[in-house]
Amino acid sequence: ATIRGMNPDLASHYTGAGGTFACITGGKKIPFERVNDDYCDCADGSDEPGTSACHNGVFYCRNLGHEPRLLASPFVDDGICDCCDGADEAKGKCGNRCLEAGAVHREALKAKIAQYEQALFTKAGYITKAANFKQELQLKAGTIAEDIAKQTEVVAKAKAELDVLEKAESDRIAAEEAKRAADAQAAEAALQAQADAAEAAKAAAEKAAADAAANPELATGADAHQERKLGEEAKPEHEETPEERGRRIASQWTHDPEAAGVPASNVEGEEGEDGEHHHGDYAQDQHHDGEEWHDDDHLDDPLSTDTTGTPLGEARNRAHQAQHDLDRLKKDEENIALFLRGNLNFGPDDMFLAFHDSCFTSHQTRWTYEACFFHKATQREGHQAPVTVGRWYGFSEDYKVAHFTGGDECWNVGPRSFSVQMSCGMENRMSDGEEPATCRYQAKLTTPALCTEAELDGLKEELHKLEEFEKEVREKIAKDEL
Amino acid sequence: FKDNEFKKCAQTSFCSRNRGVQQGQNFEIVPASLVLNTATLTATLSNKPASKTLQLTLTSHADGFVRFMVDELPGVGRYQVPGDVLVSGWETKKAAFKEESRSANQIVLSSGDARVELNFQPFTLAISVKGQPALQINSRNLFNFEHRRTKQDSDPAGYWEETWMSHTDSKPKGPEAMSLDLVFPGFQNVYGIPERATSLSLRPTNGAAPYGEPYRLYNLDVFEYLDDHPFGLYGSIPVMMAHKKGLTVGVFWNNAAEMFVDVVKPGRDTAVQWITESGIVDLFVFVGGSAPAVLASYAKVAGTTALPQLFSLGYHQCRWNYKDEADVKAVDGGFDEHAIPYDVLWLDIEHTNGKRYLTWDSSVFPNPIPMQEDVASRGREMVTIVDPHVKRDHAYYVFSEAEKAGHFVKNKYNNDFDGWCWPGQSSYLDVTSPAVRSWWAEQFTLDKYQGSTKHLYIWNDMNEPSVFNGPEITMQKDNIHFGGVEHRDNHNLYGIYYHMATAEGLKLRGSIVNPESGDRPFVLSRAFFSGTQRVGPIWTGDNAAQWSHLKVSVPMLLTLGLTGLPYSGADVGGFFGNPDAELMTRWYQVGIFYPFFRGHAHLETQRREPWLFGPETTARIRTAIRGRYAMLPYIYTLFRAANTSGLPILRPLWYEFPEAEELFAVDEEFMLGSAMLVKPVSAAGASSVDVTLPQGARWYDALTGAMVPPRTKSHRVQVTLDGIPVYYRGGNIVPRRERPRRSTAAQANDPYTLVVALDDKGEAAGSLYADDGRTFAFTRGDYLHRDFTFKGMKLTSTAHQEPGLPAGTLTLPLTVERVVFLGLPPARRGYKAVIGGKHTVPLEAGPLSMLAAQAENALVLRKPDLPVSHDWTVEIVAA
Repeated sequence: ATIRGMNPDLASHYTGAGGTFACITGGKKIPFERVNDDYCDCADGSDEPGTSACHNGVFYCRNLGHEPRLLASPFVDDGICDCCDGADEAKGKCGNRCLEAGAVHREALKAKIAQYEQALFTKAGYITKAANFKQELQLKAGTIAEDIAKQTEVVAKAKAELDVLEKAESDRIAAEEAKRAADAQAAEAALQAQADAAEAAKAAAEKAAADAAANPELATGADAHQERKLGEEAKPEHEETPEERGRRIASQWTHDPEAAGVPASNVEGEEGEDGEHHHGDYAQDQHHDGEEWHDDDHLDDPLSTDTTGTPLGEARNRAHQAQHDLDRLKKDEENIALFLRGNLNFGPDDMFLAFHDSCFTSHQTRWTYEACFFHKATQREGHQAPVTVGRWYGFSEDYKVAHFTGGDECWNVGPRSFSVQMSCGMENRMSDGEEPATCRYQAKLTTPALCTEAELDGLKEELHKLEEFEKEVREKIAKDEL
Repeated sequence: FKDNEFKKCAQTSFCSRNRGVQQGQNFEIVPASLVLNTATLTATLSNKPASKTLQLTLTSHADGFVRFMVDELPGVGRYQVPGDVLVSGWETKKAAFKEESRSANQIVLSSGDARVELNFQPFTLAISVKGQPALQINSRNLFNFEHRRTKQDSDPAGYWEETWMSHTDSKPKGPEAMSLDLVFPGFQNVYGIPERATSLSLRPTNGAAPYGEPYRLYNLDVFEYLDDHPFGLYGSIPVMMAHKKGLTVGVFWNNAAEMFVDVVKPGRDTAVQWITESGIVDLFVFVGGSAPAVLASYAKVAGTTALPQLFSLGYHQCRWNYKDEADVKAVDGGFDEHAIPYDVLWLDIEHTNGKRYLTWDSSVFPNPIPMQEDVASRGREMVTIVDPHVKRDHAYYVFSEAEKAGHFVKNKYNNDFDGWCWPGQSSYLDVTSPAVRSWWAEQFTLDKYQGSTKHLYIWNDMNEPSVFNGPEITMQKDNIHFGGVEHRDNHNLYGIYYHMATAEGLKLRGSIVNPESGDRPFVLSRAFFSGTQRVGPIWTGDNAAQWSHLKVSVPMLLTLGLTGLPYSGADVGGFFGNPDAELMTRWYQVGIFYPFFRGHAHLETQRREPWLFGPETTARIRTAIRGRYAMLPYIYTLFRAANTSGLPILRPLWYEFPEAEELFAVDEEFMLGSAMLVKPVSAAGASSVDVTLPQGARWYDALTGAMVPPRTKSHRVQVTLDGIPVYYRGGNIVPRRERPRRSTAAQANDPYTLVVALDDKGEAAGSLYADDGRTFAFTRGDYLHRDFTFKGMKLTSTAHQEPGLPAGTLTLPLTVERVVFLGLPPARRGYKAVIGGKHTVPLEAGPLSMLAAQAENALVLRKPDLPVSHDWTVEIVAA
């Protein structure tokens, strides 16, 4: 007879040779009929693989069609179906759900593989882009100092020309202004004279009314009022309102103002879906197809249209353009310093360069967490000012955790800190922002950057095995071997 | 703890004008007024200087107590605790007084073992039991009774108005305090008057701070309470017990107003001054002579512990807060993944829609019914929190219905009281009204409480009541309740009435889901009073993740056991703060012995489910919790004794060894029932602890089964992180179930193990109680209760008989799979067991328990398959 719950890998222990069973560890020997007799004899639980008699026994579910499972023996015959083949409970108690479970598992695996492939494609894009970006910088690095010097001269020249024209323009404007001011002053003086006369008349009327109304009763009332005022002022602080007191006491229990009695309205449907947004150079360029890596796009001309086409307007444009070109060169210089010579670690193949100047947000019921990689992380409640929960510190655990430290001070705890647990995922998505301990924040981030070929191969292998296995089981079921 | 947020005696008019003030000599009995009518003596007590008379009534009751009452004469309608707080029926069971003697200044009465001596001038009363002095009243002239008066211009400050912090108490009835002067002659130790985080034996209140303040009984929500402090916490039981060699005496002042209790220890006596703000003197003196007798008598008045559902004795996992349905699923799954048993998953206030209790925050709990059904499919239950403050929001049906029906407590202007609590502006249900309680009970039916299932039970918090912007974080004393009663009179009843109404709600629901047998309610409360044991368990509130809080949990729970409320527990791990792995481990190792066993944590703490401290700690916590489940047959049997006889579950050592004076103040160890002794480890890094093992008993190490000699001078025991010292006491038979299932429901068909720990005479006894664990069917006899005895080398099982109860008629198809003998004398060729006079099985050397298979110090009867529902005999003979 088969031995219920026996792990096939351990079958050699359960041959019954010599009519005895040796506990797998500990050396104790018992008669073989004591195996699975619903009484625990072995300290390691090995004599009862198929009953719940030993607290530390292990029940093997074959789970054909799905995957085998080792089940702690307390779960055997407890009325709850744990193995998908139902073997852990009395016959008839549970149906066989293994093929269903297997199919679900198979489909999930397929979807996961597809996602993985997509993620690896994205990741490859990060790496290529980072390499191109760096290459571009390398090319510029040799001549940047010279280019800046040249452009600085261009700027100086353009500004000098502009200054001359501006001076002439401002002299003209000043003359016009002076005339306008003189006219206005005359008008003002006339108005003031009228107003003074009216004020004098009103004061005289009020004095007459007060004299008429004066009597002792009113005087007493005024005194009492005075006294009350003095009494109030004598108190060191203003009297707490009942609500303030309620809130203060509630805040002893938790510094979460929502938990401490915020009036009604639910903070639902607020802004701040979990997501990613970008600013600055590197990341933003990802959204552009152009070759320009540093198009900062801030050509917001401060000038009014009335100079357009005039010599002054053109001079202004020339000066602005020259300055703009210089700024771009300086930004190149900064980038060269930062990305080629700086000590920021962007990970293997610079893949996390993709995160430079990107911010990820995670919005929970009342808090929004924002992590700007290589910069800082914040926590914000509603529309209140954000609290800095940490500044960029670096990666750890083989780039699986990103740390932000030295954030705003937290009473009794010290500076706030924030860590992001990263794992492989289809897209860059931050979630589960929380505060597991006072002023220690964390969130999760999925990113294609952490997906690997090896894992994809593993998944494919798993799928292959699963499909083969399923085929086998179906054949067996067809031949009624199960 | 913010000392200045709470009043001291000196800042409280009624306390400061009575504390230590000798006015007792003003009171004398008018001899001519004495009337003795079988069990009742009445007399006029005259306050001569005030020209005022009082009525004294002394009654002797058949249930082992004498009742001493004083009220004004003629009556002015002073407040008395309503009858429904206590049980009914005891009042009529009286035992006649015998008049022993009478003189011009004295009358002496006796009733059973009690002798009562009433002296007239000044009035004093002395009670002795079995010839030993037990109690004196007014022997120190500290008795006082402030009668109602009309307001005079000359009245001292504090008589008619009292202001503290920003709150003014209008005191419309003026002063009406009372002071009781009690002396326990020859008693060095008094216990009781919970709730406070302090030692078991009450320390004198004339010591250094903080023990210069009297103990206070005034239910309050105390933020971050300290662990060695006389300050009163969330619940009040005005019961005190005094014990000395040969005699235990208990007193209960049935009064629900604010109380202060001074304890001093002059000479060999303990003297108590007990001051209360309003009501009457209604003192019960329990004269049964022993602690069990005192508790049994008290239970006749205040009731016994309701028999809880079996699931509620398993492990409870709580947190403020499990965030959403996915979180619930993950935590529930975590227990199975780590093979740790648990029974109940709890949801704190964040599960609601804006702290509107009986609603769900649909953004995080969109499908509460499937969630509960999923948890229940593995034999488990859930609990949600429901608090008595009701958010003032007309769109919230509980508020609008209650407001319309006038169900809220009123302020002094007779408008609905408006206080601040978790939801913001809130009103408070006036649960002192029976009509409000019935209305509240109806809110728990499945159709009314949307999103609830029959697997959902309730937690009542904040029912002191906690009012964040009220004086001392509670309600104004001049608020008005049902019947025009001032809050000052019934403050300490608010919690029990709310608890009662909620439990009635679950009972009502249970009678609908199971019309035949009902469903026993499970409602945890924080506030409590005498009688709470009939309603449900309590826990010790917001403790902290500190070793000192682990330590003080033991005397706190022992005190509750000695005051009739044994179903109680402290939050395992400590509510505030973050316990490290060691504290967590040690707390679980003690927590498994708490009658109510729940892990809980504050909103702003790190997650601390049992598997989050690394694999070694997970394994230790798993071992501990599995140990709890193995003990459940024993624990449930103890609960049955609490249910029928008022006996405690956790007991101080002196309770079991009442003659051993050196144990009277021990509170660092405790007994679980009569059979197990537990020594908590409550210090970091301990590699050894000092253990006291009382004389007059045999002790067996509960891990190894090795016999350990008694040592009253404590001896050092080495400990590892794997466990704390636990011992079986010889003379006991303890039923166990050693298959660590995922929940109590999954244990239902498991066989039993009997541990037979022999005493010096080679004898032992014990019992096993079992029923369906859920319904009220046991009340009509659907239970199984067996007595096991081992005597003359014969182990027998017989039906347990208890007078006044229907005989148990339940038959369960379960067996005893293992009998473990500890302390059988060595036999040259071993032993064999003759089962039922027929087949013979050799006893085998084996470990005490397979759960921790250690040295083979026990003799084990293997698979005798003894039917648990039947009589049988197993004889042990030499092989």
